[in-house]
Amino acid sequence: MTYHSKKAIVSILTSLLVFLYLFIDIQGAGSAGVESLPQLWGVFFLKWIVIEVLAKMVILIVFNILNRLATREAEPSFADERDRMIELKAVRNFCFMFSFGFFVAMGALAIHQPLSVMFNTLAIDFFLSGLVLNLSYIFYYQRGF
Amino acid sequence: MKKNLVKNNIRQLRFMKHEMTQQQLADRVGVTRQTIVAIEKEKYSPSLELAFLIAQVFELPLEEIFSFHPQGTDSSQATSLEEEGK
Repeated sequence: MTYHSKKAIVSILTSLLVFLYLFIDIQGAGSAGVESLPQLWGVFFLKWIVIEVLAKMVILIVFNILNRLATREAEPSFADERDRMIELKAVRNFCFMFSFGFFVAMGALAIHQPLSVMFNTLAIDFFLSGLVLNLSYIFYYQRGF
Repeated sequence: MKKNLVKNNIRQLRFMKHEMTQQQLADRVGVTRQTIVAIEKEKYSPSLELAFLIAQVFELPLEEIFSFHPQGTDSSQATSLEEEGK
């Protein structure tokens, strides 16, 4: 398995852990009043972004060290034409998934669903979009194109 | 797995060129070793620019390194197509 595929797997696991930790925590907010609900979700999304970035930085540093020890090969220092092409395709898939989830979330509002349904859908969509991004990396690096 | 239509003989050429390693070839053409691995396994068709750079390293014309095999043609048909082109 290539460095990029292993990195994507580590990234998926990190995202999953961070998302589950924060998402389970916010589920108790269902009983909160309509006024405080958007504020709670705002804090959730900001906390999520900060914790995810920090967790990924730390875990990827640890991953790079372990990978170098295991394979005796340094991580690629630059992105060549194939890496850029794969990145473009993966980001395209991410955008498709994100747009789809966004419209589903807006659809929930349009059919008079509670505000929490829209926020839950958006949160799950963020997570699934990240998942699609990393799975696309694995798919294109392993299968080729 | 998706079938790649561009075949190549980079692996043999590397061995004939003083047993050049994938890393050495990658350094000379400015890509990562993983990309050379993918090209050799025919999982990736290089850009025209990269194909020319590889041809330059082996000091051979492009068609002696890469060959195009349209779907439904076997290797002998592909060879005859190349000869017709000449």
